Amino acid sequence: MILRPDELERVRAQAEAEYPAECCGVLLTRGAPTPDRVLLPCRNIQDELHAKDPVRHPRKSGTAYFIDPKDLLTIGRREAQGYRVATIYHSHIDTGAYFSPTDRQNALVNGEPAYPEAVYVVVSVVERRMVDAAAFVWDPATRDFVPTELKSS
Amino acid sequence: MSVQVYIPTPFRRATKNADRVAIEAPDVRGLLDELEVQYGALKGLVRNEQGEIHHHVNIYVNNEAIDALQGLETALKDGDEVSIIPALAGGGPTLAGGGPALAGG
Repeated sequence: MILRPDELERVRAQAEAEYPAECCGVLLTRGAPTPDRVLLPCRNIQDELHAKDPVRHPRKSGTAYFIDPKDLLTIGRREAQGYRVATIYHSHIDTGAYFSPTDRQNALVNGEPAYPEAVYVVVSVVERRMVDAAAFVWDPATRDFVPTELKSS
Repeated sequence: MSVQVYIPTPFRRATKNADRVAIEAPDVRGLLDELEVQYGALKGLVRNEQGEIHHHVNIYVNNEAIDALQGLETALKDGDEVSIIPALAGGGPTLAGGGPALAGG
């Protein structure tokens, strides 16, 4: 399951609490067939980046997220313990739960998916209420991210 | 001296799926040089053509970002752990707006 109901509920709570900033985080899993699951809410440092260098980072946190490198280091340490990044989530503010061109661009490294096995979950938050959620996966055939069923196993 | 380098998922194509490699180098610059010698596909992923670290890549020595140390000149000692961490980022509509309708997906 991409996100269990209790995990999606935690994402909803985070997304609404951090509104009007985009929220972000990952789900790490380890083992099969019943993997350990660790939902790791992350800090969006987009506003700090914008304040430091508005030319390089023209967006603020209402339209972009940038996971705190300290959280990325934590993710890396978990990966070294056998976890994998199963889901990467973030919120969109007052717009739909779609995989934006920016999402796509940042999900690629030299044209290849950075996390080819991960599911990207986008939740839409409108007026501080989560109104929609959608999931996207890399499709090698079309070489693009395509929608997938959020509740699929 | 030998340091352990953590290779994150996005860069493992370049290291034949190795998540950790041991490198001998006196400093971070030397470590990146040696990494690119051993794993040529890493060229361009971590640094640009001028040898500068891409702004979307962070490098840590143990738990400290090299920006807070001596950057590429940060000295390494035996047993240090270096982590190369690419950014995880994205965002919604453009600055000018124009995202899909609220119900879009």
